[in-house]
Amino acid sequence: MTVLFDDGIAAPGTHGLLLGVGTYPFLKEGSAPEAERFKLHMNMGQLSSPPRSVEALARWFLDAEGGFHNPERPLRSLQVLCSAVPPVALPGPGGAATVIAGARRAAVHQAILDWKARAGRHEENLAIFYFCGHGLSFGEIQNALLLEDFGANHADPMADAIAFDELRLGLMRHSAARYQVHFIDACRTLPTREFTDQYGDTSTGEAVVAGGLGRQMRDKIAPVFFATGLAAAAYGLPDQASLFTQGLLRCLRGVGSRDADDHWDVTVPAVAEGINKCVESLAFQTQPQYCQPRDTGQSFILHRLRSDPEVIVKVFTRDEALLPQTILAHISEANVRTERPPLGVPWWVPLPLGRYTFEAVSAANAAVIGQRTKHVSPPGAEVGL
Amino acid sequence: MNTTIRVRAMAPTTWGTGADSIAAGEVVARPGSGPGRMPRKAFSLGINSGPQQIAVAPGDYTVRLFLPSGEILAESVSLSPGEQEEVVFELRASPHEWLGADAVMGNVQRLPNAERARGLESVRSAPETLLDGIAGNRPTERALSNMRYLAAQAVSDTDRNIAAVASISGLERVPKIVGWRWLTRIRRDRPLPGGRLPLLDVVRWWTGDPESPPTPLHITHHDEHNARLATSPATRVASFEYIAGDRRAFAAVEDPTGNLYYAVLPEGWARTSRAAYGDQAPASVLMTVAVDSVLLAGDEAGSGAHWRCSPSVDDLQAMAVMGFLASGQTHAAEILLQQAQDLLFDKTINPVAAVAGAYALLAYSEETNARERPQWRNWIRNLCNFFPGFPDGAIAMAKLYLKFGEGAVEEEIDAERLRAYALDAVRRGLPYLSFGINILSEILLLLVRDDEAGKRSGPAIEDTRRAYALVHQLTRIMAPGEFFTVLRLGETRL
Repeated sequence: MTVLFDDGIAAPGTHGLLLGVGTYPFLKEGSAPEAERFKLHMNMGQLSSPPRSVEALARWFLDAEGGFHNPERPLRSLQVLCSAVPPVALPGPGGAATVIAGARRAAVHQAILDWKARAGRHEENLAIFYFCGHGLSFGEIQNALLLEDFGANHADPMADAIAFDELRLGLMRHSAARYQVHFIDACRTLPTREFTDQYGDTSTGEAVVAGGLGRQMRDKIAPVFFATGLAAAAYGLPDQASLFTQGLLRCLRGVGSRDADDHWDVTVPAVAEGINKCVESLAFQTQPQYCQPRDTGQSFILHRLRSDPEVIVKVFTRDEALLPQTILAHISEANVRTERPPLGVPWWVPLPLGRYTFEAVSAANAAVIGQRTKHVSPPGAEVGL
Repeated sequence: MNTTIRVRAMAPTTWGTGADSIAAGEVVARPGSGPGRMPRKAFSLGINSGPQQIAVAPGDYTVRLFLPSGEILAESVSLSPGEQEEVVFELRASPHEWLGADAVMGNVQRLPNAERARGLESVRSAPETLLDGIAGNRPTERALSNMRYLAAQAVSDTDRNIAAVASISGLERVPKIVGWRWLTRIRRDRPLPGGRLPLLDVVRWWTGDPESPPTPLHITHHDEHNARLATSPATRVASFEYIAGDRRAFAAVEDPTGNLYYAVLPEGWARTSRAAYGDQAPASVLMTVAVDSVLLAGDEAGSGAHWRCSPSVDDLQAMAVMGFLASGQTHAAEILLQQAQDLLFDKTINPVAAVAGAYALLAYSEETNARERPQWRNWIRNLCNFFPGFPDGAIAMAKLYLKFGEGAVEEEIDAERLRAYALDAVRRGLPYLSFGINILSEILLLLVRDDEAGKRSGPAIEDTRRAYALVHQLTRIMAPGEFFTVLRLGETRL
């Protein structure tokens, strides 16, 4: 177990559990002896993104100066499990570097129960669950999160997976925390026919916290953010945080924020589109509904910004054919000019909230193709010139 | 003169929404506006139609526009006393005029093109040019390396997707799309089958028995990546029975790659907007190419390009509500609903449109609903009770009961009461809206697990297990992300 932070206070707060699985010894190219590896790996192998993703998110949570900030529900505990080679190290209690334990079945089950108990210290708590690794989807609400030892048990591989949707329902029933947010950064690919022919399709993993009916469920607000749509593959950059996690962190810096009295709050209904805009800027293309939200109707605050938000502005020429010969520029209110030389793609630029003049200038003859002044606000702006 | 913000949404097309509103918006005072900050003002808006005028106090504001595709745009304005300021949201162009509405709904995707791929190659060789976000920052070597990798990945991605799109579409393939409309009737007294059914038996159980031979669907518009199919006006059905669940209409469509879809075809649809209340709206199916992978590594098995089957109805406002639900923008759906909720729920000329509204309401708290619309519980109850063949009405009632109880939220959940609603919903047949299937699946799972924990047995318990197994099989073949339920019969895992 790796509890990096726990203030033990029962007053309302935020309790996080971050799980990352990068090494799968029993899957494709895993470290286990070949005879022990799982033949029906469905082309799932080793991942370098989950450790970086978990590390980036954990550091954000632990950064008391520039990271997570929720005055109504400050961070009260953070637990991390991550399967990686070499293991991830993060600042633990007292700031000492702590080697993070792997996300194997037994450890994950215990971690979930411990996190549930911490989050249950007060009914107004916010419980945050994050998973990054391989996932299988047997249906839109039958998603399995694969743990490090997935594939070790050739008789019942799904025993080393979490039935996410059942876990969520179980937490709604049994966890006292009213607010429960889930970020699932995993593939939602369909299992192959060979797999379902051999193992069936009724087992989607272990619920860990069993569901069932109870009026306590009515009090819970439990939105989910999936990295991709059903039957689509999430992706990870080698040795970088995943696209989804990078988008999430950028969203938390302002793209997913909304105006409040004298500050900006990242609220639940704004997160999905915030992530989608960030992903577009990272991937140079629009991927419709990259972040799939569920049950995000009720609004509450996830994070409060300490300063003005950063937004994503897409600057382009209305005639896309002009892009390769056009210099794009933005000029701030302080009259600072920043230019981008001609490139064949729009310019996605993160800018602090504020008023800017945007220009498109021909590289050939310096003629101004277009100019506009805009005050940019979250989630962002598109400036066609 | 009043201080006013005039808001318009413009798309580079001749298409417009006329009197219908399909976008939702809000005006919010910017933080730091000081004491007396104006409360949030919501509004609805059409595309390429007249402006919406919002009276405000002088000050600084953010104006946001929510589109049914899930996209959110924002502009800011500052107004002095008596000033009028116009805010124009410029929307992206759709691939063709006839796809204007579908583009706003998010049903048509902007596909990768070769120009974009070549543009990305230039990024790969000059990554530093994309890293100047804030003046004075010099990108690190790691940031440059990451940007080069991203760009290379994006080039590879784009090229692969272009090839994948070309392999399944084109002007020679698209006209080969064929479709048929089936009219069926579902017997609510049919038994719940035990065990796993073959695929076609699952479909038949959920969609009912055909009443007559099928009618061909004709391609009314097409291009190299899209085709719209519909019945001819002479064969269109206009009876209320088809949107009340007493009789059903389905479209069976085969795409150019040989995959078969069986989709709810919302014939008999009556518009519920004030501007065209009660008018019949034609139903159609849009077949469109989609790419759902982004930045996959070369050896990763991505799904590449595939065809999507999207039923729709020529009722922009109702489609917009469903779009907002699908993209998780429930509050935007509510803004549209507020304009016409009395028409939608009191008269109920269109239960399907009404239940979409009901699903939006179910996302809110009891307090909010009771304050904004005291009759909301009766609306949902009526959808269930007045239309005994309508599955979505029973699903909405089950969800209402699960989440809010019959009388008060404090009451315990009676498993038998919930079971009755859930089994009734299953017997009524295939839900019109795919949102309903996920809700039903979740409710049945809860019942099954509760039965296991309570060690219950008996015919009703067995029926619940069978119902859950049936819904389980259904969710395996349900196409994700469509408003109306679409079953994929060509690439099942059953």
